[in-house]
Amino acid sequence: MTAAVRRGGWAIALWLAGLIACGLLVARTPVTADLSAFLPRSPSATQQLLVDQLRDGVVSRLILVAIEGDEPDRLTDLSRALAARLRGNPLVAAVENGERTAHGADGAYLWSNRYLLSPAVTPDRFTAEGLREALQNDLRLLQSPAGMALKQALPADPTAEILRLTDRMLGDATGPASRNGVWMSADGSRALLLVQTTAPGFDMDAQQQTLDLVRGAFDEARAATGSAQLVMTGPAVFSVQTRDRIEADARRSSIIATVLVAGVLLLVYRSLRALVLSLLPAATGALAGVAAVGLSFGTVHGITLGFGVTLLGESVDYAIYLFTQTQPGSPARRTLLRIWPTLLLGVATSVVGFGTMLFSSFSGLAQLGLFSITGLVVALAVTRWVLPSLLPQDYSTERPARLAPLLTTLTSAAPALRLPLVAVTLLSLAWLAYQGATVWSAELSSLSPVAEADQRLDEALRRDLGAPDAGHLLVTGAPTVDGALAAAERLSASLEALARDHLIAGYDSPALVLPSQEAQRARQAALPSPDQLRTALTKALQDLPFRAGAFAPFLTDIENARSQPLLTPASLDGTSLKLKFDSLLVRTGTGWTAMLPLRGVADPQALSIRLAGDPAAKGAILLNLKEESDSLYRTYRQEALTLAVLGAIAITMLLAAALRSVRSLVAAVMPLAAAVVITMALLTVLGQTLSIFHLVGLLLVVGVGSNYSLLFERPEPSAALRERTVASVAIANLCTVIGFGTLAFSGIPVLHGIGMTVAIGAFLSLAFAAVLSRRHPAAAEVPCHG
Amino acid sequence: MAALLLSSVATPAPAAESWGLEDLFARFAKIAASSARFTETREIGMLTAPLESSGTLTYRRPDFLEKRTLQPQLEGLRLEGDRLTLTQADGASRTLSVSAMPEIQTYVESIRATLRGDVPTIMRFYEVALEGTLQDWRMQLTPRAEEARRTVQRIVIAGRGAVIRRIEVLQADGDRSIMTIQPDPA
Repeated sequence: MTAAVRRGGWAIALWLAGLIACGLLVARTPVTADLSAFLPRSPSATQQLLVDQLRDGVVSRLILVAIEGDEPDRLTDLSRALAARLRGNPLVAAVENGERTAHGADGAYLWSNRYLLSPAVTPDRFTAEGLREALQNDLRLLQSPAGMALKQALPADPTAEILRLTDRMLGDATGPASRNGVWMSADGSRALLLVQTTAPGFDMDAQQQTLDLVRGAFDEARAATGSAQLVMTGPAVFSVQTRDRIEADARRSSIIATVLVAGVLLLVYRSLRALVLSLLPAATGALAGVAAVGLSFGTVHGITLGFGVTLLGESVDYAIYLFTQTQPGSPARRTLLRIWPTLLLGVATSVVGFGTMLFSSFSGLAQLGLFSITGLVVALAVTRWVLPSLLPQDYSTERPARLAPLLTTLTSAAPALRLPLVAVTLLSLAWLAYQGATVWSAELSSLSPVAEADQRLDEALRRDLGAPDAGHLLVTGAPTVDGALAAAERLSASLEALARDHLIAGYDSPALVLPSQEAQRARQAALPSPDQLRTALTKALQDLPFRAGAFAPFLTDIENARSQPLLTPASLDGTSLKLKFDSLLVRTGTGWTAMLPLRGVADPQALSIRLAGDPAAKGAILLNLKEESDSLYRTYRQEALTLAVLGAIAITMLLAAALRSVRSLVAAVMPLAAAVVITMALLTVLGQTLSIFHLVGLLLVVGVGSNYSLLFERPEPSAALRERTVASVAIANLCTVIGFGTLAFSGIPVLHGIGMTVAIGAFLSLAFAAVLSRRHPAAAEVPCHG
Repeated sequence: MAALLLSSVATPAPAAESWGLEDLFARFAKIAASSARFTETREIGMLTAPLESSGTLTYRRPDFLEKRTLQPQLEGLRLEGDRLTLTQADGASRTLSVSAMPEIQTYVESIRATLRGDVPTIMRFYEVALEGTLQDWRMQLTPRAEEARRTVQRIVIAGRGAVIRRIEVLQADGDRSIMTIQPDPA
């Protein structure tokens, strides 16, 4: 006995030490909520680009801000005041609200560097013939309706380089409408701003600070008066909101679930001590799970954390089995020895099921797998080695007097439902087969933890801002910034040709904002000396009605341009072009990647065929973002499905090896299979499109359900024990359904999906285990016992 | 003293008939569509001779305005809602958001808001001084926005009833354009 006590003492000491270690680990593990955790770890080159963009691309740093709910003129004033307060703050890289301040800097950059920037600068352009052609054009321009606005530039820029540059920058001018020089939605109901954060999208604390800064600045600008309100959306807003909401939901669900489960257990055991003890394995398991994830991944995703609640549902079962099946006069240790093989097999089933997820190339899925495995194994270990030492020597539970007869009646009546069950299963299979692949969501956005209302607001603001949804990108790269710019320049001839053939409406390129050093040098070399230029200009002006000396500024500017220092990325500081440049030229791995967004792609297939056959476009990748992200998701889903099927096979093999009987195997597996099929059918009938998270939920159903059918399947020495076994399974099931049921009320689509799946699936597993259980001789022989 | 104040208030109003911007614009507001021919003379500082052009003007309620230059070369300016499309002789066209280009907006809204009879818009963009009679009026528009005043100093629109006869644009650099308009008989 003393040996046992000493062993128990060691177990408790080890457990406490483990708790402290896990607690410390958990406290140091940051929580993330960005979608990228659910993106692959070792993707292809194009996928990597996509993932990088989602993680810390410029897109992920944008905050779309709207001010609404007041008179239009008040809104524009507020927009200016807010922008003025934000500009220059170290958290804010750029603020754009349509004001000329930024455009002034952009205009100055384009104007003073026009001879280095314009692709039209060639030696031919500055000969007498070239200039004469340009001057004749100028005359037409002066006569045209646009002449009034454009003529100011002519004395210094008769070859109209600035027009060529601004034409490109304007693109098809799908910018937002404005009022009083500030961006405004077309209906005048909201003023619009774009804020780019300095911090990368995945740095949630910094994003949170920036959002608070914007809110604070707005409150200051509005002062006490005014009814205007601030609305913000964008990836950063979403991640921060989602993190908060997942944490809130996880906390709320775990509190509700704990209270309900505790209530049930208290009702059953009528002992506070038994209640606390039965929650210990679950709590320890959840803590260890988070610690394990933190240790191997560095961060824990909010979704994984939300999942932690649900583990309560499964691991609390072990203690329930132990307590409920401990009869008076027989110590808990003996119960443990009796049910240990079954518990071990049940946990092994779950571990094998979740184990397949560890091999997923998506870190989010692997996190879920690791979390579940660690949690379950730890919970089982605590049940096995810690609980018995904490229990009083003579601990036992009362016969669940009210519950047991009812359950016994139900279970003995259940097999009558065999035929209907088979029929419903077949019907569900037929339904799923009829629905085919459409039951699975095909879009990456189905993984987004963002609520639908927020997605709609985001779409509305994007429409107002005229922000083009990046559809197609041509991507190229080089080891250096300048090399990447040169690579982008080499593509421009091909792209111009595509635009002429109307395969694309236009394109953008970082090299339009900052040409490569080589291109700049070539343009500088194309500019004539002052004497040459003067001679050529005099000759070109003959018989044209321009006043003498009208183009003196032109001569000066060309002379200056010949010796001006070449432009570098630093030349863009202070302009909004920098924002664009940084979004189109990004560091990837050891090199630099230039991205050239294509506008108005009508026929993606024809486009990719043309590009594939173009030697100049060799080495450039055509990226269709929407298709790429959806195909990424499909790979993801395919992988998860494959893993799930492999998991199912592994579980079946494990059970076969452990049970060593085809009949037992069938009895153990059939209820699970039926539960999974009918749950899937039910969910789709209820209008849900199944995503990866439903798949994870189904795996959990198999894990939990295997315990039920194994326990049902196990021959019991006496009817009284049989009765207790059934009761323990029923209580365990109730707790699982409660745990996941609370999740089903979450506003986060993912948590809702998992909650629904497991709550329905676990209940069905139990019902079907009862329906499909074989009649046990022990139970049949002594029906009137007790 | 009171009499003096009263009389000084009373004098500037046109003696014969009492009318104002609202009355004039109410007449414009009744017109659903109109078309006209124009000739335009531009005096530009950097040129030794003025530039002449001519063409047609078309307006449709509420916000469509087109100026087609036929001589000396084909050219178009079409305003539809917030979108301004400029078409050159070679067919190349450029589309802009008017509200994003204050100097162009200042010019086009003077004509469009008048044709539409839109008092709030014209008052939002310009300080308006109206003189003459309803049968022979002159409306002087001074842009309110400093940004716009850097390009367009003043626009003077003259007309008879709900018909514009002449638009004169005086630019900040001293250049000016005078457009004379003959309404189509229709």
